[in-house]
Amino acid sequence: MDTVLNNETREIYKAEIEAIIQHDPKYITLGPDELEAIVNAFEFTLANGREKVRAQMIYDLIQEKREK
Amino acid sequence: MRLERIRLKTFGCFQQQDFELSDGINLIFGPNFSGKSTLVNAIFFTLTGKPIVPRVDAAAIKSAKSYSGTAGLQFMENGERYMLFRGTGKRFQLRQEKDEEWHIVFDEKRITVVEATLKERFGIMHDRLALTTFLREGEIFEFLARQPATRRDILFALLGIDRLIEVRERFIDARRLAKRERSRIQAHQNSLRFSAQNTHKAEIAKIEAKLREFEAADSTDIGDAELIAEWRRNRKQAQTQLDTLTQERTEVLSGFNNITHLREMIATIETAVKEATGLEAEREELIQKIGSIDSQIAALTKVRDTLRTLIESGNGHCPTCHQKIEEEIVQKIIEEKEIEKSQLSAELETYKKTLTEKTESLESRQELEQRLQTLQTKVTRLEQLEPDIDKVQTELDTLTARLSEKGMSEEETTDVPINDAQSAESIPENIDKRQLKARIDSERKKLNKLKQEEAVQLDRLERLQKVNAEAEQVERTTLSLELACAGVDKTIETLQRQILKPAEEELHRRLEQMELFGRTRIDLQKQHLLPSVKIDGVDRSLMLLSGSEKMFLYLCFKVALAKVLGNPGFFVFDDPTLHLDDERKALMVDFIKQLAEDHQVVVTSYDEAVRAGLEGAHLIEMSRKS
Repeated sequence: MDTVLNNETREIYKAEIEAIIQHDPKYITLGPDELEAIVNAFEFTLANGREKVRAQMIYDLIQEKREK
Repeated sequence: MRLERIRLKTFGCFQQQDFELSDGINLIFGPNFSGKSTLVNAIFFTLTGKPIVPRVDAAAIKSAKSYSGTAGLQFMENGERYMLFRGTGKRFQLRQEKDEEWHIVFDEKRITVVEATLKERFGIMHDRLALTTFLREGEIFEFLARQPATRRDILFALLGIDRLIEVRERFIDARRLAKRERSRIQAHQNSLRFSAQNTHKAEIAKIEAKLREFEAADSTDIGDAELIAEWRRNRKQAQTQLDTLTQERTEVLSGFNNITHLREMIATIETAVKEATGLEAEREELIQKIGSIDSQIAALTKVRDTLRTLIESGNGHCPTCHQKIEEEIVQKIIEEKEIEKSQLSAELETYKKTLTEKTESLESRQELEQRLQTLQTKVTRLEQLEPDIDKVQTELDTLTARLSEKGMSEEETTDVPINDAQSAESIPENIDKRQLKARIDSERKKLNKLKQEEAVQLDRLERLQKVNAEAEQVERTTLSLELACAGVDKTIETLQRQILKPAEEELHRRLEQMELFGRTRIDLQKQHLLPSVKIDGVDRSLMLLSGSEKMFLYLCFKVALAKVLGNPGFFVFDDPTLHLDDERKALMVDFIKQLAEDHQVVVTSYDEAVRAGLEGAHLIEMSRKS
């Protein structure tokens, strides 16, 4: 199963997010930075597992990327 | 993974025994209670640490009267030979054959560590193995009876989606945090917005402009032009003042030529008033006299009327003293009283006439007194006005003379307009330096106060701008996390679709090979792994299929899932032909043979027809004695 949840999953996730942005005008204000932050947060959470990831980390991760 | 040998020690009904396995089909054949299912259980237990039957304690599968049991499994994996031993007391040992000798690779009692090692080395996971590799008694009904949520959890665990679910949970937590933060910032924003609403900019600008004018007026060294302008302003003001005073004087005089004429009139009136002094006393005396005469007349009238009544009654005697009345004397008295009354009445008329005259004189005197008072007020006001008029006239003459000295004609001095209209508006023309200083101080104080307030407002405004930027950032983060959650959901759907689609195709292929149902369409995503079966275009509930149909469909489903999820390379089916008729048994035998073309298959059965059908398979014969 790990073969499924590899980089391919990240790419699927990225593609899904892009598709949502295109279909839902609500997210039109979000730019490439936010998109990258979200994908990074996803990858980070996926890689580190439930016990190691806290909500604050996700929040900080996205904030950090946005501030850059 | 290719299984080679099962080794048992005090495990189930076995004391110590080895069972060899070969490639292709392995048929464990024997009557009931011969240990067929125990062998299946031994393989499952060795690999997963759990009995194949759910909710049974591992310790319960040891032999009776033994302290513990051990199951072992020898197998080949990637060209290496291994031996796994697992005890019912949780002991686990992995050995590897090297140079024809067994070496202990791993020896552990902690279940989580053992599971992680098996997963890492051989890809062995309990749930996946149970669903894709083994078929145990009663499994189909148990699977169908599970709650959708349980099946969904199994599906997600099998597909590895459970990790995505965890990611989504973390994103939801983060989104909740972001929303809470957004609410907090919005409240802060509102409070700052409310307090930073009113600024004093316009008022400050106005006061500053005014102050500049005052300061300019105060600090500038006045030159000729400015001096003339000032004289003109002063002259104009003096002229206006003089006009006002003159007009007032004219109004006060009202018909008199001048103040002397007015004073003569006052003297005349004062004499007249003086002459009229004593009128009130005389009038009072007259009123008293009239009152007295009125009383006398009334008394006479009463006496006369009494006497007349006495005569007219004809009694001849007085009703009081009872003496005889002399009518002639009484008549005479009445006449005397009449005369006396007539005299008094005449006198009364005279007094009344006099009283009227006196009253009129008195009213005239009062009018004169009022007139006198008015005239005296006018004189007083005139006496005040005259010096003012003289003073203003002198000032006016001085200014006119000064302007004349500067070469300005009468007309020019009168008609030149004031150029600096703004100055004329804000700085009074007659203001002096001292007053100007006071005004400047006052305006400065006002300005400082406003500036302090403005500084506070600006600070609030600055903070508001920061909070606004922060709010926008949090808003975008919240939106990002919403998107992140929605993205995970979509990814889960996509992964399910991607993984289950090939499984559905494999399932179709298997079912078509068996020609059991005609044209079928299976949807594995629907209702979470409970396949929705459409046979010849009609939806059929899996629960309503016959027992044999369920068995074939479920085995095909298992094989299809094994294909997409990964299979260790073998299948273990515990009595798959149970309750099947001869025709369906033959179909099952064919199915097993097909499966054995690219997998090792371990099958148990007590049925001779199956044994006959699987002729050539590696046979492990069991008996109750063994």
